[in-house]
Amino acid sequence: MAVTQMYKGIIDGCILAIINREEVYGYEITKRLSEYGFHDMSEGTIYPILLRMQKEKLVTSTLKKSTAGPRRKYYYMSEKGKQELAAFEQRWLQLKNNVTNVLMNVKEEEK
Amino acid sequence: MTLSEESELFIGNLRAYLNVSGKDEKDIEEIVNELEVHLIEAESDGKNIEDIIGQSPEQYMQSIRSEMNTNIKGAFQMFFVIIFGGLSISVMPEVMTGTLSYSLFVIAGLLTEFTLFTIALIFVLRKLSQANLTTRRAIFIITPMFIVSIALLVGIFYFDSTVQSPTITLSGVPVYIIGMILFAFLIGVSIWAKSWIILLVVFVISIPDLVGRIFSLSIETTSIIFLTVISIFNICLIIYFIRQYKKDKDS
Repeated sequence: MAVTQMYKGIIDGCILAIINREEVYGYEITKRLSEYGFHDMSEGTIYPILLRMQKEKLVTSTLKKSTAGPRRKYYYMSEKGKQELAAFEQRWLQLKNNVTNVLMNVKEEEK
Repeated sequence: MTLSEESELFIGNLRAYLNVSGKDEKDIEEIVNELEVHLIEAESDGKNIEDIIGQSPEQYMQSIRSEMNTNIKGAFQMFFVIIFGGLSISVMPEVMTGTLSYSLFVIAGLLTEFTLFTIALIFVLRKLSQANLTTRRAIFIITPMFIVSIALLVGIFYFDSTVQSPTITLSGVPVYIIGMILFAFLIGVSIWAKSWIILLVVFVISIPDLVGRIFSLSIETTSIIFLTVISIFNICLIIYFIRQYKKDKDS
């Protein structure tokens, strides 16, 4: 399975977590994701996700002047986004547990 | 700070693609500007466009499009203008004769034809904006569409005599009133679109009919003149259209 297939849904939660920590603009989000280990993702992937999150009102945005070049679009967390992030954390912990369980037990049984 | 040529091209294509996909002007500007900011910063960090949009620009454009709201009101307006405009253009030369006579078959046929044409046009424009086509290839794609469209029009009028359907005939004052309304509509659309091409089309397709009347030519001769004029005019229109389109893309 391609790694990008596995990313689906997970990246959304990670982007929410990054925006929750501080207001950021698109390029910063990709830099953070890459710092945390997501190197093999094309950077543009975040924009369709950000568009959807705005539609679902999980995040809001404002344009801010930058020292160099055109204005940047900064993203902020909404109340709804915070709830979604909490739900994502729950789902992720559960999923992580389940996957670890499966992998560990299968190895045990092999022995 | 400037963008590389590839990125400039991608940004221009994306803008055109979202435009013909019926997205809101403001939303388009917003996402296009955001990507522009990203590309500028990424390029100054030594990345190239493939690192950002992946292997396939077409797929990436689609993924952006599918997350954006379609401006349904705008799309409807566009649809209405094209269909009503198409009907007006076909009716105008007849208005000058003082009599309007259409069978239900022709009316239904024309409405279907214009709807199909509009859908095909939107589809072709989307394809054109997704890829960087040369003018020659673009003509290669658009020409069959126009030929099929003309063939359908000719077919509708040809089979009209063989198909029995109720006919609406108007003459005298009502015809002139309809003519004035349609003319006002076409002028309105021309002003709105800042282009006089529609009125030019009406003028060009009225010529064969007028010439036929003045010199009392047979219907066959008039039809041949009509088809020749329309074909030449279509080719000019396609070339003009593509030039205009490329200019829009570059700016």
